[in-house]
Amino acid sequence: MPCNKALKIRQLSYSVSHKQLLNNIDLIAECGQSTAIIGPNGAGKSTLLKAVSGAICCTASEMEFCDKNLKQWKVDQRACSVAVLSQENSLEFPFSCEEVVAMGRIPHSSGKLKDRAVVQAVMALMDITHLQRRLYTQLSGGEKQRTQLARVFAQLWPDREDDSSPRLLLLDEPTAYLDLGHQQQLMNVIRDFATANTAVLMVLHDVNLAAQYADKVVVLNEGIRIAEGKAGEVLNERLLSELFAADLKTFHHPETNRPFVYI
Amino acid sequence: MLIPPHIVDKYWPFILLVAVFILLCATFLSLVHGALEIGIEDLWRWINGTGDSATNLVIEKLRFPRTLLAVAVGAVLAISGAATQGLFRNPLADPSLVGVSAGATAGAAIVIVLLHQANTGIWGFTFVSLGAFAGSLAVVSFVYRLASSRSGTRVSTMLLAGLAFTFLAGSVTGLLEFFADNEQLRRLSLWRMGGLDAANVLSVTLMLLVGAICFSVLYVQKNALNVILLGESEARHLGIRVNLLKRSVIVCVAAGVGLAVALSGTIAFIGLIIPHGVRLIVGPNHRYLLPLSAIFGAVLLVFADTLSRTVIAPTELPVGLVTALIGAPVFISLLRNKHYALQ
Repeated sequence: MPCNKALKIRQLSYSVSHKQLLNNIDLIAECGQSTAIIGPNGAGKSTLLKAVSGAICCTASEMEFCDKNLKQWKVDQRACSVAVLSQENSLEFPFSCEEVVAMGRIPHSSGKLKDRAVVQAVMALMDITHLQRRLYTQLSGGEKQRTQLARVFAQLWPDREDDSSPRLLLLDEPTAYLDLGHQQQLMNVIRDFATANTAVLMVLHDVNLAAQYADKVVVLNEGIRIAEGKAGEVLNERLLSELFAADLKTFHHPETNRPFVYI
Repeated sequence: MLIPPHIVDKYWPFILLVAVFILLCATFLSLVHGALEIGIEDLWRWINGTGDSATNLVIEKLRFPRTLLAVAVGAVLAISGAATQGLFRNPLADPSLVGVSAGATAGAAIVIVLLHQANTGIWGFTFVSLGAFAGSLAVVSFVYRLASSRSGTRVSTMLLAGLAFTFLAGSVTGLLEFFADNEQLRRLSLWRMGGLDAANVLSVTLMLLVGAICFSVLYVQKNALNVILLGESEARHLGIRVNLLKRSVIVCVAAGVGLAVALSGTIAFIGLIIPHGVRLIVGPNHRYLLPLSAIFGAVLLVFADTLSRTVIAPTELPVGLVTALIGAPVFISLLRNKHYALQ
């Protein structure tokens, strides 16, 4: 069956009490690529991610992943292919770190042994193996964030080695609370996930991270998509200065030659 | 937390066995103690079918149904509490938050004060029980409807609606109390304090059946109840049908607690304290929380009922009072435990 492996969104709009938060957004995020959404505060970045994840009801003429309508997909089947990391995580019950990560395996029926192996693997990826028996409520902000990330990665981990079905990963500010080392580690993991047939759509606050690591950048301002494309083509001094209403300078990264923003 | 999750996981059958053993001990104590002391040898003769008829009668008609009712009511109150706390994502929630107890009290007050029916009944249930059950179901269904729209049920609205209906039902009860005579007032206040003396074969069977159904429905959804603690959207992203979960929890709580309150009066304390206490010991995972809550809820009520029958025998103390009197110190000692401060 021919399957166009991408998240396709056309004319997505969302308004709340007469305020248009998203206005006719078109967006394509292909499997095998990571797409970063950037923009100033209140641009509608998180709202766009919530609309795609189904957390809020929006109108769109098309919202499909691999030719499947995201809205009509059954929740339990959808959970095997689509994983979401929200911005606010409010778990206040003392589960152990390992138990929280293991919740990512609930949609799958891959057996206890496989689940345990996946949990160990993602905890190693997120550098939280040493925290596995600590209580979530006792962790620091960055450790909690890495635990939630590990849970989301566990959800998208393939059930079998040869399983390369397309997956969609939606991340809202995945680098929040993370130190530089863990930010870099995370961006590498995200890149590896993307190459393994996953479409990654993430909101990033740090324009430099988006420029260095994302295959594609979508620029939002006041609910309108104002630019989309490769970081090197889209991100320039004029656009960024206008977007953030700031005096910004861009350079080129000495190794990757991608744009690099300096305040 | 006293026992780390991986240890609980490893020794779960053993922990469960110990808990069941404690319940059996409590049941045994309840059978032998009371206004009439029954020896171990009497109990043994009853099991063999060789006991004298007077003792057999006390065991079969009074002690045994009453103990079983205590087991079922205690277990149902505790698992309903655990499920409500999970649904509201708040360890301080309690089934009475959705108006079950207030509705039941109003229903009982209507029957006692307006209908003057205190001791009569049909099918082995007193009219007071039936009124209480109808009252609790009515209030919970109002609360649930108010909080539900086409897009689903809002837990925060349900909390506020529960509060509003609790006050409304409380005013109805208060108004009836104002017009009630002394006799009716005493009946109502005794009913409120709780008692298990209404136990008969039918009520016990019904309570056990409803308890077993509630437990099965909730235990099947143990993973969903765990995941909803992450947040409603997170649960949906993990493939949980959140609205179905909410509905089944509310129906279980309404039926289970409604029936428990109808048969034994308001014993509100167990639903709050038992799950909270169990959580302090084995953590919040519903796989362990639900069974252990059921067992320790049963233990607490059986134990409290035994005390209520024996302390000033032959007069019985209301079991609701005794439950709080022995449960609260245990809970306070758990709170004083230094591990709690770390959570």
